[in-house]
Amino acid sequence: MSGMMTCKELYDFLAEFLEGNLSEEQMRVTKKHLEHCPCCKHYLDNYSEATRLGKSVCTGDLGEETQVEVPETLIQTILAAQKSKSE
Amino acid sequence: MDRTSQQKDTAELDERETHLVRSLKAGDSVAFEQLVREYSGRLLVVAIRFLGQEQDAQDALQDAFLSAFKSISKFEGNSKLSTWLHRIVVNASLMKLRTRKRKPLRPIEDILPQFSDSGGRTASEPLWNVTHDTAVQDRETRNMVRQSISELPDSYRTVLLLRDIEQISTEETAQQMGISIGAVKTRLHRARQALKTLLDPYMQGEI
Ligand SMILES: [Zn+2]
Repeated sequence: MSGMMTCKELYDFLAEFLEGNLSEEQMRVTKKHLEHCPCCKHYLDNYSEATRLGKSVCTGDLGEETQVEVPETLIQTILAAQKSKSE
Repeated sequence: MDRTSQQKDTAELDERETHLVRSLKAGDSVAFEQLVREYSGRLLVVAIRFLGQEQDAQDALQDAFLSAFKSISKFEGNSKLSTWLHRIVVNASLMKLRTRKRKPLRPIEDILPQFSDSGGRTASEPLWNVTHDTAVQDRETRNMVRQSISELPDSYRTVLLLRDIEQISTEETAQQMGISIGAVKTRLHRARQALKTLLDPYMQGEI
């Protein structure tokens, strides 16, 4: 890898970068690109926030949103299926 | 609520659960109905996350309860009943996903970033102007994020849910889905990128 890295190259290395799997030299070049390219820096920040938000809205303690109303017909279907199995 | 009454509540819950499990192990159909009524709401949420608002999610829930009742003798109480049921409904959802071949609404490539021939970005990348706390506290935003996750193609959404939400290891995810460890990593990365792209207009304040 040369001293200069394009945005596309950074993008291709991003997953490995985030996992800390790059060589020291690759790591240095990637960090340098991030320092000088606000677009890629913003991309990385937004990516991290999207990941964090995804986790929060599915696992957070959000009261009523962790439950849905289950139609009575579905409950009856499940009970009937169990009954027919055990008979 | 103070600490002692909280502990008392937990103890009561534990006792209730132990009693329910004992009745289930005895094959009590009343206990089965109690189980279904008590846990359906939260388990259906999990199935819907994997399968969407569809018949498939309801089928997975049914499969999960039947399988739970069948294997309740193996439940040793090392985990909470809800945790045990949660894993069963995840497995039932994965089973359903394996047998359905749904064409994604749009290919993942459409929601990944674009670059020019010289390797530059073709679109500007403004920093999202909403803080994490503000976003999480807003019901509309939460729904938007969930909606966006549901729009990911099945094979990507599944990896995102198993890795980021269910906290299942890369190795186990690979095994569960019958794909390589490398494929899990690639799909997780792309799924997060696509989620970011789907949220962009909203988080940049355009909507
Ligand atoms: Zn860049």
